Amino acid sequence: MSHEAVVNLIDISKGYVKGGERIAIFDRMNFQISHGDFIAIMGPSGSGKSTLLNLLGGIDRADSGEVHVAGTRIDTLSESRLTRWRARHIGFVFQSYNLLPILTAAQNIELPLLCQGTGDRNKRVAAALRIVNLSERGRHYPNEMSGGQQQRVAIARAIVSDPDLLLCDEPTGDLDRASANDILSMLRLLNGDFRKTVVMVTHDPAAAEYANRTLHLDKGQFVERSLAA
Amino acid sequence: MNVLSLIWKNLLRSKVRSALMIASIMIAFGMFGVLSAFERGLSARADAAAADRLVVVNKIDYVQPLPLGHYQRVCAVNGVQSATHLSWFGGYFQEPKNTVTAMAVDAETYLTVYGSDYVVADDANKAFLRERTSALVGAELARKWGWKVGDQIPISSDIYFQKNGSLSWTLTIVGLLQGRTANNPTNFLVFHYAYLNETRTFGKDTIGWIALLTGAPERIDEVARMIDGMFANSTNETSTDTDRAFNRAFGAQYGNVGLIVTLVIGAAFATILMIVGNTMVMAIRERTREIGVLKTLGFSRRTLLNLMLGEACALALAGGVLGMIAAEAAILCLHFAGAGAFSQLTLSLAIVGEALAIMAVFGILTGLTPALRAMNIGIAQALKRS
Repeated sequence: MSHEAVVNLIDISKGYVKGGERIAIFDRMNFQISHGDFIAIMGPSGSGKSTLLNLLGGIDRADSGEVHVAGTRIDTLSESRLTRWRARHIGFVFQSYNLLPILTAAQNIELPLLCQGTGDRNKRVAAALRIVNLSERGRHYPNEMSGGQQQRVAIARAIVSDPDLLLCDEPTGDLDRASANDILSMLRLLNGDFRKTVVMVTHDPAAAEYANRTLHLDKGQFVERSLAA
Repeated sequence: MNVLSLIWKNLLRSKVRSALMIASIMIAFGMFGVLSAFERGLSARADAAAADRLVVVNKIDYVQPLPLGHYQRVCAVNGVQSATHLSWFGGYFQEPKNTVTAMAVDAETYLTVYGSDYVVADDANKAFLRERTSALVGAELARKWGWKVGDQIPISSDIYFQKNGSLSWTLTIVGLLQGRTANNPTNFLVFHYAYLNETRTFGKDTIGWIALLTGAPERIDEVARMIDGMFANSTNETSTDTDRAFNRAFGAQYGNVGLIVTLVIGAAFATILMIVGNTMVMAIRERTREIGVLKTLGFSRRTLLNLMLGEACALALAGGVLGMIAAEAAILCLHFAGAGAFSQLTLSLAIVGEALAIMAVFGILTGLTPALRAMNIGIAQALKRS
């Protein structure tokens, strides 16, 4: 495993104002993720797991501090540059799949390529479908597939633009155990064989066992670390 | 797949909703097409009149008659090249519901003044001058009733009746009047004033109005002043104006058509704008989470703006084009059903061009609010929406 940092958070502070009072989520937090890592982030609701994921993906901005991801300091990028950067470097997998119901599996997977103007879109979509073992379901609509299959399509969509970092927000939260294991194995495959750095937020200890490292987040602080692999 | 196919798929997402919105827009544009054609038809008819033609009417109101003697005096005015007189007959064919626009004219001079608008075959004109009970029938009117040259037609009046007690005048069709342009309506007939004047029970030696040519448009003001001055302080004062103004005044008897059309169309568009705009806002609000996903996947604010505006414009275009097709169909139906009465109704290129511009504005107005909202909503906030 390379130890080159793909994520480097420096003195990150993030909070929100409620009832006129500022409530801190992160206070001068520092955090690094190495290239090729597979990290599970666990913690109670409100601990800042999703906020952390949003900061890493450039979906949300920190109040202060520096966010370096895949060699770019993203907290200073304009909205449009951040959008372009995100499309190229980040793959997202959501808990509820978030596939567009009006599009087939293949078209859903093609979406990130659409805004990048990438050539050979069909080839790349077909390759992504092969990786998630859904080559024969490309023309199926989301409502014609099981939850597990939909999540595999979502994973294919996340990897089709060959991103550096996969951010997964409770990817197995809506799935039964068998489907969850299937998805987690796939993430592990992407991490192992395709050298994708994976950051996964989960409540499920069994899911966390698939990761190389598990970080426990509570009130904006990593309170415990354990090596799973 | 491209942005256009994405717009198309979004439109098909809720087929019933899209169909209803398209139908609403279609109705508004259908009304726009028909009413605009009607308004333009009236204007075109007025504008088609010869520039040097003046019309002399009774100053009290154009429906009040003038003494026939006025005609001879007008003919003698310096600057009057040629003149004729016309009288409204208020005709119908067989039954009062079968209205026929019929005018009693001075046969000798009618075509010298209106020859720039209508053409009649030479032999037909000669026959018209020869036979006192003859009539020249506009081509549209003849087509409507299936009349042909040689037919004898009973035309009754809702103003006059004959001295012999008869309600109808039998006229022999000797020729057809053809408009020189599409803006010269042919939904009327003319017959001899002498025949009417001799047989009617009242109104003898009165005429409806006088039409004249000055030969030079620049002389119309001077000639009009001279004519009205000549009859000033008489029992039948006159009001002389251009034929165009006269036609407009005639059209204005239905009210201010332009204003009515504008108000009706404006109300229709404003209502549909609010309905469609509100529906678009709701439709796109339902997709807030998807918008968050698209942003996450790298769709720029501009692409999303184009997507939303494209969707609204596509709806407006679909409804608008269908509306214009419906308007054209309605106009064709009116042509068949009403014969010459609607011969001026045409869905001109200018109306179609205006409609396309309105479609674009309509699409932008209905799509702008939800598009801006989609553009500006934060991803994290959008993704939280269920």
